[in-house]
Amino acid sequence: MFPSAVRPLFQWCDSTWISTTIRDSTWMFAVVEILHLLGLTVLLGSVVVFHLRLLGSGMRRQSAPALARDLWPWQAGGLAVMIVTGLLMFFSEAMKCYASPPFAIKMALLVLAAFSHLLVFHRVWRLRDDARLPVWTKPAAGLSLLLWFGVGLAGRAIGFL
Amino acid sequence: MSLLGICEQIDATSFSTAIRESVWLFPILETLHLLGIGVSAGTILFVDLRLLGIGMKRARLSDVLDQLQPWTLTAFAVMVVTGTLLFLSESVKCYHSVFFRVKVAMLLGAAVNAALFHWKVYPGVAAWDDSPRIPARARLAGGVSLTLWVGIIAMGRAIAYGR
Repeated sequence: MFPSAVRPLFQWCDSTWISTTIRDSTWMFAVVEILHLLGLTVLLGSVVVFHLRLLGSGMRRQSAPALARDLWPWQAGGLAVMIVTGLLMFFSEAMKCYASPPFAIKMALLVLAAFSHLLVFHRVWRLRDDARLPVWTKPAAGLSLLLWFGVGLAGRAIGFL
Repeated sequence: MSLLGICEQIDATSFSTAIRESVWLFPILETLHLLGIGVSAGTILFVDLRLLGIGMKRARLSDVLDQLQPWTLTAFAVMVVTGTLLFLSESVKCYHSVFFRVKVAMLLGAAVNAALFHWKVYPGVAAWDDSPRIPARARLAGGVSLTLWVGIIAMGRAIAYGR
């Protein structure tokens, strides 16, 4: 899935001391993966709560901008934990990831999800509390949510395929 | 019959074998179970954070709870169905797994905690719904729930890693 030009980069990631330390330990990968899952719960939870509001299916008594301001630290924190633990797992099996179609798909979906999410989040953040949500919010929120779930789906598939 | 005997009988059914040996069924169930966490534990998390007074501070507690509960319960139903199917497909493995036992104990603990909160603490919510100062009993319920759910997720993942 990845061009062979980037193969040396993956090889380098696969051979650092971090990679070998995690690979050679019996429990380290498991602990990192569990932290990754806890980060997922925080990130996906806050993403779901925010998107339910944008889709008009929950949290309707709060304004979307107020909800955005309440949720952003949890979104940022959850994402930070996922990125750090995700990088650790990637380094420990970079060559496996190089050959893994689900990993390539996950990275592509992650970039799309993050981009679409930031676009929507930023626009809603700047709205006044009593402002009506623009018409594009619903389809955009639906797309973001699907992309986020796609990231999770593809992520789980890395372990299976 | 012993508990182990029952688990062996479950494992031997064609239903259990079909899930265990299917290339797609087990991974699909597990992925649904995982995505269900994001919605069920994710929404529970924000109620807990509100109870602890460290998240969703701009919203009333009753607003957070009432508006998220349908989603928590729906996703939890998905977790129960997929979780039961996963268990049925490898019940002997679960029988021998310490992590599985701890997870079940923690789930029971979380259920008792939620029931106590709803029957003993939540009925008096009107007195402190708007307040950033939440009674100690309510904060305790939030803290216990948060701790148990972190444990449930960690134990759930550990089941697949082995004994």
